[in-house]
Amino acid sequence: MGMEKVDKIINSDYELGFEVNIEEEKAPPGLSEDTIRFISAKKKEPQWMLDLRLKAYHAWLKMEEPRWAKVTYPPIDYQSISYWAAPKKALESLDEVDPEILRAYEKLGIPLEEQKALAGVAVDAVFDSVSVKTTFVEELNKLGIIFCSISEAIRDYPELIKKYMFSVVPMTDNFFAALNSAVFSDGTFVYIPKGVKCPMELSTYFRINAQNTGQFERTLIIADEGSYVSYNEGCSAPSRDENQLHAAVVELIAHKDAHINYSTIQNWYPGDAEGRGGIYNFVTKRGLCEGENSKITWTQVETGSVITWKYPSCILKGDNSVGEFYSVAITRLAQQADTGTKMIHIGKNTKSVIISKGISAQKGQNSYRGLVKMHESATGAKNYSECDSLLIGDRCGAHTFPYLESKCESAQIEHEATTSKISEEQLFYLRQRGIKEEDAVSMIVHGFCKDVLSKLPMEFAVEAKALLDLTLEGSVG
Amino acid sequence: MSTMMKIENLHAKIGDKQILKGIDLKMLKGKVHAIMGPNGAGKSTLSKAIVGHPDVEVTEGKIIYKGKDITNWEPEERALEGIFMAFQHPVEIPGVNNAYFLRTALNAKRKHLGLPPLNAAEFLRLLKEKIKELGMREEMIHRSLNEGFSGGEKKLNEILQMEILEPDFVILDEIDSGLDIDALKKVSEAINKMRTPDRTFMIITHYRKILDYIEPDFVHVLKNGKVLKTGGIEIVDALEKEGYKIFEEA
Amino acid sequence: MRVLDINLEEYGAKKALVQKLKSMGMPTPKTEHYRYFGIRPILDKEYIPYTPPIESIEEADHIEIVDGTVTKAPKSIFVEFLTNPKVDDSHYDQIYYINHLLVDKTIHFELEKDMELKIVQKFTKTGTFVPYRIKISVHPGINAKIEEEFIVYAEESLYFYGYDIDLAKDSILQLVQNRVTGLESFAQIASHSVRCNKNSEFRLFTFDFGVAKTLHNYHITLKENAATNASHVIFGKERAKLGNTFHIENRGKDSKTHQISRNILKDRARGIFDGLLIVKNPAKYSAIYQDSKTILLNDGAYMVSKPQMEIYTEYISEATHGSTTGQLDEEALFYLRQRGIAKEQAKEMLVLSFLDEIFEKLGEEKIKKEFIELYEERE
Repeated sequence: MGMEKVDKIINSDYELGFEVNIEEEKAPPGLSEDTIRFISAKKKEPQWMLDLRLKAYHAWLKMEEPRWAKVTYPPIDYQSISYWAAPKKALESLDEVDPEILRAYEKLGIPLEEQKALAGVAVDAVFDSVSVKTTFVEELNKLGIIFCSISEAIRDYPELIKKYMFSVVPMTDNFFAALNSAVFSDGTFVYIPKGVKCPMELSTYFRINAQNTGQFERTLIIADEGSYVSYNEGCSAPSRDENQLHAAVVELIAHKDAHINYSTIQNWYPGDAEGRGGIYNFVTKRGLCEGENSKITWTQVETGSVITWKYPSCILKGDNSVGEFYSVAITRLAQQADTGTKMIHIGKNTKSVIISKGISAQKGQNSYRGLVKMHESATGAKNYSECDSLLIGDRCGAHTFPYLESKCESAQIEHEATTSKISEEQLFYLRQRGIKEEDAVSMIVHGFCKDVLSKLPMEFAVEAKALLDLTLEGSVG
Repeated sequence: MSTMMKIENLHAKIGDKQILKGIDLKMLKGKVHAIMGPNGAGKSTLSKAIVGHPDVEVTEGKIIYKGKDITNWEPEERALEGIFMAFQHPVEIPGVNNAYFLRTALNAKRKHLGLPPLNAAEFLRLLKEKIKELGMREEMIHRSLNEGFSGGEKKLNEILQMEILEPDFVILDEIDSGLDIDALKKVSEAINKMRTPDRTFMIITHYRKILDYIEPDFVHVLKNGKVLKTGGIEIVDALEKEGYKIFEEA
Repeated sequence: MRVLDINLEEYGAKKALVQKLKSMGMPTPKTEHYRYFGIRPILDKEYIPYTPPIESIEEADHIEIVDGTVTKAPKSIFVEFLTNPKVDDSHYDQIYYINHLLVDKTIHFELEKDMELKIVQKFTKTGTFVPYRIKISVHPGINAKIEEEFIVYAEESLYFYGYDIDLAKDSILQLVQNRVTGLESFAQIASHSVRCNKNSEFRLFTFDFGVAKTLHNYHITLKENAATNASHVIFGKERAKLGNTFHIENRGKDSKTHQISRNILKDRARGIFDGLLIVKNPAKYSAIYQDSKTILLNDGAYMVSKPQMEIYTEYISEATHGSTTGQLDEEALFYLRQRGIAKEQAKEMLVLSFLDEIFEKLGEEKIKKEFIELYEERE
């Protein structure tokens, strides 16, 4: 990403808050069996997929919306949401992409044309709910890597889908996962074959655009034995007055000796100072370290959404497997985030690391909620967690809710947390050296987040840093 | 001889406590001014007032620097105009890389002077050169700002910043505290090298020792928030012998 | 009777309590502070209901409470029975309100001068449900120490009790709760409320040694410059479920909370530590500190540690917590054995060093000795 783009990101209140007019094909609001049949038919899905969706729908009907997170919001009327929207035409090449969409990407600073050239990044661009364009696929195909939309995968690789979908996040795992399982619109599918190291960062940019349309993405990544993949997910959404529901599901499976790196930058519309219009973000992300010596790393920078409910987790089943979670979450305005992770240790000598940095400003409420669980079988397992919070201003809140469970004598859990404000001393020291107050705050915040930002892939890190500055602008003082 | 800084009838308080009660002080271009005085005399408050520390509230009087009234300026504006303070206790800032911090500060200054910013490579060259001169360990520049530095390393790091930022008015706030004799020599040498006809130093100290290494042109004795006596190095000798009380009737 | 069958409509006279309970609902396995305790079977079980009678009090050098009835007390203590005691209106525990609902005569002790006091609680009823409450008022400027001791014979029984403690301005109370429970079928849920007024200090030491199922829920509130020091030791064996949960609210400026939790579990015992420290917005310049450590002596022993913080002001002097769970330090164990100390004894030394911080703070040898006896007791 060039400096120009960084500047562009910095110089605005919510630069990404624009709206694009595209003719949309939209399902009428409401959720019923008919809605699900409609979605499935639109996507020309096989009967077995429809059956699974219906099963999830019936389970969802019996479930209750969870209320244990430290977030408050008015009740969601699930019947007022439209569960399907798509650009009308199916598009084959870049030339066919609606110029409005291309302009939208340009405004976001990620023109598709340039992305091809961008450091070998392949992009599967999702606009609203249908994949518009997939690039680099051929090059990946040569290595046997499958990188396509989940709809295509359902048609083209039914065996893989049947085997792995719902295997990490069962369709009835929780209320929002069940909803997603019933109505998921599209998403990404990745399969890395045995021994293959994916040579480029795989990226998907999600955008929510259609008014009143929930975004129900579904992602499934499988890393077969000895393989490696790094996947980046970045988001932004136009500003709106109505709350938009987002309930995504991400499933990762790492086989023996495989390593999956999953990075997220989340910058959806955070709402106004009263929280009006922001995105509701209820996400289920879970990875299974199935095989020995496998590793899953979650890295996230969360700056957007008015409500965030998100716990990227690792089930450490294979012996010696490793789970990592690195997170920066910023809440300002009236944002509320309840985010963290779950590290479930089952295999021997499994290891997990949790580094969480929460920053609260204005009226933001930031909660870390994390579970570390050592099963009786997890002999020699180790966990280390560090959860730090930074408060900026006196109307915000920072909360830490760890759950540490152990049934195994030889397992070790170590958890540390601190909450502090930016110290006047630090601020003054930097200002005495001629650095503007705003820049000094930014410098201290970047220092605070450094351990996490350094885990992001290079390109992504630059973007995340710019986003951090943009987010903090006007939040201080 | 031209005046670098003129302090007129300065009254200031910290919290509810009136500490400076009418300081009048003139500091000249190219000279070294030592400020001495017993604990609680207002030495540190004076230096904080000069750099615009938020704890200090100026209730009366003025600070004129290079002919401009800077009494109400922001700290960074004063810094960019060339006022530098070497802190007694430099703060640690985790995660903020020493080199990165210093480049940001230098480029802020260069921007202020209408000069183009130095890129990372140019800056690193400059930094390494200075580090070598000071006899610092190179790995220190890649560590977090002041984090895990020993007392001596922290003081050297302050001097390093001074050399890079090339200020016009330097306050050394008890730079000698917590230094052993070798470190004190090293720091003093570095400071003496920085003495030029255009640069003014204000040395705050309790002890005579550092003044043997950095010879002051003027010595000012503070007590109870006022300047009790101004003179040359002979004052220090008198102080050594008799203590502060000898000036009380002056 | 079953606790779950309690019909709120029958308690019309206690309107405020009924309303509060209706808004909170009955505790369920999903209720945050009961999540790991297994509350359902206890509330679902059939017991003989029992209302502790008021009897004449025999003079003695300590207080004795038998199944909720005060039987002995020193002359220097003022004892009365309250029909409408002031109730904490922001307690997080439903059973706090249920307990108050079921109790018509709250025992009330007034501490009007500096003193050291011992309270012996005897639990003797079998298959019975016994609810009672104790209120303690510590007068301004008073410095008091209370040591509570348990003697348990009650099998298949459920006891609800709890302290409502009021610390007046400038007072100090040290409460040592020495809870040894040797019966697996004994169940107890105790819900305490402690109000610390300006400049007061509450020092709490609790020791849960045993095999029973007990959960103690503490709601502690701190006004300006008040301080609390809440330390606990859990040593659970066999199929014990021993837990302490806390909501400690720093409500006033310059208030301080210091909490140390040490837990040792063996066999299939379960330990629960759920400590939420809250700093409200007006409580500027407060300091909170929390440190939880656990040793599991074998696989299958189970510890749940939830050191939690909620902070609503940026002006905090300190806010840190740490938690570790693991086994005895193998290196240290080897070192001791290399010096000729038998393995079991070396283990005991390390376990004691693990508890040292708390024993040292308490400055009392007796409980330490008791712990050693219990620890050495092997089948």
